[in-house]
Amino acid sequence: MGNDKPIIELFTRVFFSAAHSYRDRDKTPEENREKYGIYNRVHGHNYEVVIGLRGQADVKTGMMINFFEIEKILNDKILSVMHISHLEEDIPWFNDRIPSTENITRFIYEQLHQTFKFPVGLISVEVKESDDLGAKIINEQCTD
Amino acid sequence: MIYLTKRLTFSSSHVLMNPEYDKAKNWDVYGKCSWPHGHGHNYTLEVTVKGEIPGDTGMIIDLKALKKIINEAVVDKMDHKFLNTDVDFLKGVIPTSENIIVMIWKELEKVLEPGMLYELKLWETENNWVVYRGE
Repeated sequence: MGNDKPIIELFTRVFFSAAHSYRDRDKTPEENREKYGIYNRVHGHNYEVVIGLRGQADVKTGMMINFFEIEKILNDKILSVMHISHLEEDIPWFNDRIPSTENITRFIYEQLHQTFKFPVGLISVEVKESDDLGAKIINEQCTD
Repeated sequence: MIYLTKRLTFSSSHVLMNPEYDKAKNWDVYGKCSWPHGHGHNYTLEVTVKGEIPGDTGMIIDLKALKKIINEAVVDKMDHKFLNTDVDFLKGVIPTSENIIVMIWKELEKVLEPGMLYELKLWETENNWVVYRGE
């Protein structure tokens, strides 16, 4: 194999630190403590985020997209919003959602999904809240 | 089918600039990576090969042999070299991660059994990497 217009996948990893607690707004503090246990306490994580893109390198520049450009997008759309935040207090999207790793991954995916357009597509967003727990969304539609 | 991955590292310098662009355009496209004196990276390369397990040896390829093949075909040629000028298989290519991984694929395809090479991963830094499967 080997191809005149090779399809490359490109990954960038960034980090942010945020606080959260699990609770349902319509329940009493006692009910929430009962339901969510220690996760009801306000606590924080150093989150690791890996963004996967897929596309072709530009023939002239040799790049699919500049790593600096990705960093800028991630800074503007993700880190400036999430870094050193209390997720469900500071970000409206989390007001009525549990700030679980799954929902954090979904939030980041939704922020970035429309940003990367053909010929560069978003193929995956992976979020780890620790070495032992992570979530990943794969964009099944992005095949090119 | 078994997938077997070998990881190797090399350290190289490069500068990202297109000779068709002037200095300002190169700065615009590549930013600080276009600084003419060049800069360096500790690269990590993962090579994944695939195959059925043979009954006699139990190995799809001897890992020592795989390491030797990868070192001779690509890694030794790039380690402690200036990628823009010193590497035969990168001549005329702007040494971005995207271009380097495709050229490594072409070199490894020549020296591995047909159909054996499955995937390459190339880390330029711990936070930036590319993946290529020959598509």
